[in-house]
Amino acid sequence: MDTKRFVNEFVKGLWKEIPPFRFVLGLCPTLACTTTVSDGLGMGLCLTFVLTCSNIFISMLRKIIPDEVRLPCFIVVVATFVIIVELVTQAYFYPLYMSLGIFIPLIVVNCIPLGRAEAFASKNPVIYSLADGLGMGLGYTMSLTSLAFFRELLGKGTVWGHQVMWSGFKPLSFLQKAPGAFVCLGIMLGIMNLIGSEK
Amino acid sequence: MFKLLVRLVGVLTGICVVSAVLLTLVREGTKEQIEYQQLKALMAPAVKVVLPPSDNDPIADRVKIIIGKGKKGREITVFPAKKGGKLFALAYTASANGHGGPVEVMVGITVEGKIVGVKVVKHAETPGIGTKVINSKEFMSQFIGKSWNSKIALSNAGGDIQAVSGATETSTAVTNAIANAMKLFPDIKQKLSSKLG
Amino acid sequence: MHHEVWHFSDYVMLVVSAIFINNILLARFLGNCPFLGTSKRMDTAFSMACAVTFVLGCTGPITWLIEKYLLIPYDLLYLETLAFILTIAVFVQLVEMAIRKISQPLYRALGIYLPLITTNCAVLGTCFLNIKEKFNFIQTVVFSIASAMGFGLALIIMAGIRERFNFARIPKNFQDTSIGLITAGLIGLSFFAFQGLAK
Repeated sequence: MDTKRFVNEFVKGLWKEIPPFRFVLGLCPTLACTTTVSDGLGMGLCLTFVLTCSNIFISMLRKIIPDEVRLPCFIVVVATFVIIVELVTQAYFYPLYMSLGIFIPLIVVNCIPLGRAEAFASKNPVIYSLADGLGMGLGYTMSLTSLAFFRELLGKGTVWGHQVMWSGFKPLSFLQKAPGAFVCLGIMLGIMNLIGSEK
Repeated sequence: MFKLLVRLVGVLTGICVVSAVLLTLVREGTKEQIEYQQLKALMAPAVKVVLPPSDNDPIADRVKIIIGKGKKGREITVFPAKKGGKLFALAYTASANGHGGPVEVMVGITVEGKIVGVKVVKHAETPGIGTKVINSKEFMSQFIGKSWNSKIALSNAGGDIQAVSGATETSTAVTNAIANAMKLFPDIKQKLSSKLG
Repeated sequence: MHHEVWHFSDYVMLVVSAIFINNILLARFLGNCPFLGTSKRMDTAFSMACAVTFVLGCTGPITWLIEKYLLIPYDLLYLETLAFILTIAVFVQLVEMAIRKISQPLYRALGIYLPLITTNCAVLGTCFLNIKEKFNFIQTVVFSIASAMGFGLALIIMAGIRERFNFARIPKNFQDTSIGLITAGLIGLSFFAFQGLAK
């Protein structure tokens, strides 16, 4: 194992190719599950689990899976881990399960697990696929949490459910609604492009 | 060509089988806990209202009891409240038909058979009319303190429960649901004590 | 509402609600990846809208039947996610093969968008919503088609606006996805006006 490569595969997901800003996939939960920091973090961690596990398994099976049926195989592998997440959150994190609703099963079509399976895990050894999955997943978690932080702070005046703004603060409830999510993500994407292009 | 087809189908089937086994295991492992969470979300507010404070978590300690025999038998989930390890009250639900479908009421009752609390947990009554009954503290408090073997009926049916005016149908449904619950009490109590040992 | 007999006006309301008030894309955040990917040109947007309407109009009812006659009777509800995504994947594959056989022009117009639909969360999401809202069979058919039409409408409006971007001076960092998201937010904001239609 090449440690340097392992670290590189891990770190690229945290900044250079951070989803969904640099690697524009998985926008639906980015918009829907970021009204509160706890939702954003929860969604990110669910995805990290699915992505890491599916990357490992697909990489393990990459020499067995025939090219013709690779998409159905990927879907079955991803769906299996999604259902595990569904059952586990339902059993141990019920409030999170209720607030994320259909977006937990929708991780199947999130595009990030399938995208990484197609672009990375099906071509690379297990250990690097693990690093890739973990890095991309945590990068996605960071993005979701930071977007949720702004939306919750300015839209509700709270962070993690605790009031942090001064008492006279009028929340910009627009940010909590659907159009606010689009605009907020669009502006963040623009700012990320700005930071990226200066380098 | 044939060899390829076998390989395609074989691999897909293999992955599906492994996935099915894995999922069944996870499902079996989480089944109990999921049921607890769902019951807690659905029943915890009502259990809190109808049962006096206890040392245990009545939802975690729930007991399933089969009432009736054979095909007529149905399962009732009973929530026991204990103090110092001793059962002193229990809660369970029963239903009766109302205006918009069944009205389900949770009843809290002491081991001696006295009602300590009632709360509607599920209904499809008309907002503004039927819900007047469900939200009326005055109406609901008429049941408190009644014994399981006393007559529980509205005044127009020979009992002493006063219906909420203008909402007789829902008042009847709630009263009947509670009366139904009381009919089950001796059976449930006996089976519960034998289960709890 | 589910306990009552549905009249024609209720169905009209369901359609209006699915297209304008709770638009699958602008209010429920489903189907963003193909939304941003295929809304750059009007003709691709129109093809995509037609393909999604066709696929959802068929898979919505099929998944409803699977839920009712397969998953519920055999107590397999936890496999819902896997069953639905496989149904959609297989259906899309079959349609692709059928179209390729039947009509080459149609295949050229729609065919390349079909694989994208498998991973379109508007399709899977609507199938879940049909179940979650406890719709009966007819309501499922109506809602599936209306929901897809809502997706199509948003996509076509977006494509119309994006074609104009070619003549607009947009800051470099905000081009493409970033401005796309902000525009989607503004379209969503204008759709807020339709909320007055609901009682």
